[in-house]
Amino acid sequence: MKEKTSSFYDRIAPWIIPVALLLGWQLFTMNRSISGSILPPPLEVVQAGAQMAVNGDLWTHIFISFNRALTGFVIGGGLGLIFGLLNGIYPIAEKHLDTTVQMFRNIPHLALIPLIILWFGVGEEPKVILVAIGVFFPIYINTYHGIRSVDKGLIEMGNVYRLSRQKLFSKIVLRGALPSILVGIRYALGTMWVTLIVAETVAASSGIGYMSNNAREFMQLDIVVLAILLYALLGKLADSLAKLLESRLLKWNPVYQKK
Amino acid sequence: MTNLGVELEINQLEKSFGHLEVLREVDLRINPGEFIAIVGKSGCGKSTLLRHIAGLEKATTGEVKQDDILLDGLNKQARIMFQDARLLPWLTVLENVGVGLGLKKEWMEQAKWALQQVGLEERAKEWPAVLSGGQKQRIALARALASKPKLMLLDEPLGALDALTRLEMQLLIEELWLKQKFTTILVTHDMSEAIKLADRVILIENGSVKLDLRIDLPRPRTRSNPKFAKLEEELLSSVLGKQKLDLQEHRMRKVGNE
Repeated sequence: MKEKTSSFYDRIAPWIIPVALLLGWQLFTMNRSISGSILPPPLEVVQAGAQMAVNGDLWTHIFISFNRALTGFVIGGGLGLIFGLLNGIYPIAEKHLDTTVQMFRNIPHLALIPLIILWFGVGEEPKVILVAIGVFFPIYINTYHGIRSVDKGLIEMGNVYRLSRQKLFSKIVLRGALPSILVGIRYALGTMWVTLIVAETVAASSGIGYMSNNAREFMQLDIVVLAILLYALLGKLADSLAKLLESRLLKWNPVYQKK
Repeated sequence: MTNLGVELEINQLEKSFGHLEVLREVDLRINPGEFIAIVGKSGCGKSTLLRHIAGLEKATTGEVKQDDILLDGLNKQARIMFQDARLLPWLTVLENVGVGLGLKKEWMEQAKWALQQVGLEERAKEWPAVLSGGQKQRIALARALASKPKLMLLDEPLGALDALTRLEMQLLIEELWLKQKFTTILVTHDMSEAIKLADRVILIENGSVKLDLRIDLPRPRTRSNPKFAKLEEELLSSVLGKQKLDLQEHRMRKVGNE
């Protein structure tokens, strides 16, 4: 029995501080220590959310943002993975490409916003492109680094045991680089949201960022806060998915084994 | 049973890395199914010699012939056991043994057989991370055995194991060798291990063969056999040089008298 209570506590433990923060927030706004025009009480935010959920606006904005995030992530992440693999495996590719990639990496991708708006206008493309650029570099660098740091002894072993090139890649090189690639993916998911928020706030006519920016013009503070909370939730969701992926793909590693 | 081992012939093998001569004029003949131990101080070139036989290094001059065919590139008949087990941590024990068969179709039956040979068939589905050092080396041995090799190269595979596990592994290797008769070359710095297992002990010093000692003791060999002790002493004195050993004996006697 004792074990059960402790496992229950283990499960709720990460949520104690968020819930306490929420309660404190409600309390301070209710007794007017914090003015409603600075921070609306959480219940009002929930109400605003419920209202938007009922009339469907909320889902449209979330769906649009999610769509942009995913499209950008797949394009940028896919390219990052391909270039990372290419440069990690073939020295000739690395010799020709790595310097260029490192040069572009040092440009903050958000600095490209004016240029990209000029080129592509304010439609869907600039957001997707910005997200793609944002996620490309973390995935590229971690894939490349992961492949370069695969144990040379294991590769030599694979050669001695005459594994085919394809098996050598799938069973040794890729599997060995996977922990590093997954770190890149988790990091890229963070960049993905940041990029999208900025892009949607600067130039958009839909999406969560637009919803928040639009609400600011009409002083709808509850919706602004709602948008912030949505980003927090979506970010956490993405991170949880990445964690799930890690524990699935790296279950051989004692670090990821569940007790 | 027909003889499965390969015959090796090494002629005037030399290897240098830059100015550093690692192997000099090595001549060696190894009969099919023979168990050879290569001993010597660290850095004497014994591992480099093994890597040449495996085809992992290219000779500066000289040649290695296997069954009268000149060796060029990776040795297809050879399987190596390294000092570290080099198991793939993301594959199960059974799949790791399957690597020895190139994970080509229908590898599983053969891998199970090999795992049985080393007595670890009940661990087939586990990850290597949960095994002890000795068990990992046994898996590595099974991986080497799986393809029924004609030449087994052992590069100090027992060096990192504790004394008891090492004795167990020595017995296992001897048993499997007696059963399957693959030609075996063991690199070791443990003289008693060399005498216990090998038909011939080759001493390498400064990159060349200094001693080629035939061991004619009946198997299984134990250290209680006085001939064993005598051979070990002979070997040790060749490795260390005669005076040093005398000096040590002298000191021991002095301690004994006091």
